[in-house]
Amino acid sequence: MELKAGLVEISWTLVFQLANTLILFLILRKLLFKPVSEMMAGRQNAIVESIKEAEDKNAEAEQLKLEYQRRLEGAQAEGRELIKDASKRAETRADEIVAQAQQEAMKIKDRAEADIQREKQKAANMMKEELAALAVMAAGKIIGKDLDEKGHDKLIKDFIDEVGETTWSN
Amino acid sequence: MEGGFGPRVIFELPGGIPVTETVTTTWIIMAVLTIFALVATRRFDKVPKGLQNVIELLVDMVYKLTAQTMGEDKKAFAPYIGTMMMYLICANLAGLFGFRPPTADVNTTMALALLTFFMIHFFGMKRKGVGTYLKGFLQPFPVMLPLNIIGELATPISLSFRLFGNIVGGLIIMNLLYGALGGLSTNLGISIPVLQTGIPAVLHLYFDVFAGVLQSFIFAMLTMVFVSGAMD
Repeated sequence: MELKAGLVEISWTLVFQLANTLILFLILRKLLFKPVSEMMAGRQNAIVESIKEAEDKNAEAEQLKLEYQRRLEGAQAEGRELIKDASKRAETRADEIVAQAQQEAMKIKDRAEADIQREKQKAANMMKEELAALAVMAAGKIIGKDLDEKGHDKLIKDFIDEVGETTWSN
Repeated sequence: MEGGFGPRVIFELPGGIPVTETVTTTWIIMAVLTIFALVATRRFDKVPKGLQNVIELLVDMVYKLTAQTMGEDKKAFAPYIGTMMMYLICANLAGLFGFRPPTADVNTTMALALLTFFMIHFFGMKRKGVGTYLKGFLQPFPVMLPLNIIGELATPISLSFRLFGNIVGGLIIMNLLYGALGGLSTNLGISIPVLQTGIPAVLHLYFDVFAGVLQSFIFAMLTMVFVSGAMD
């Protein structure tokens, strides 16, 4: 018959089992619980970190987008300013050109008027002279005597001038 | 049933120290669990797959249960609680593989209960300070001191005998049943004990699987509750 220990009997087995339990605890802690839990904690940290990183990147992108939008708007405003400036300058230049042209035209007109005046004066003078000659001739005929054109020239001219003042100057 | 239901003595160490079945079966369980831990963590990857998922689930479950029962600040107890649960479940299920469950030996359960007992008082003193801790024994009145001491001493005894009783009870009933079924087969004139097949499986399911797992869980839960109770 094989040797059996009692059913309810505290023996050396208690010491063995205490030691066994502690040894098993140390083994499992070292081989199973520590590495697995550390690995899982590490992975969780990595996930948290990568999520945070992604969020940071998103925020950065958002900021960049805003900045670019702002810059784009600035550029557009600048463009508008430039166009406005250019059109204003063009308008001024056009006005200048028109004014110059008007001035030019005025000058030409003035000159033309002066020319006309001169021609008129010339024509009037010629008429006066002819009229004087005619008058001398007519007077000579009437008087029957050759009127000395040269001698009475001054007289006649004065007369015509006197008449002419009123007749030609209107 | 010669020699009763006690564990067999496998060999004796020099000096007459007997090494029983309980101890050798525990060594086998230790070896199995060590190999399991080695294999499980051998190829650990950042992206878990296959066995790693199971291991992670197991470890995570132990840590969560510990944090839930003892509080987040006592999570460091998880490896011990996990070791205890794994060992107890393996020990209680050892009956299914033809071993005598190590937990059917009061020495095993007493060893575990004594560890729990020392943890209760060691961590209680460490957390609260020896003076405050000892003053707790005079609560609510100094007259309660003997009762409090008896209560504290009762803890490991009730812990160890609850588990031992459950497992050894199942063991004895199963032994009696096998004996009865064998005898019945012989009386019916069948030389092979055919009745021993099939019928005991149902009872194995109850005594070994159900009671075994339940008692492992209860032992671990009570340890957690007592230790955290002494610390808070």
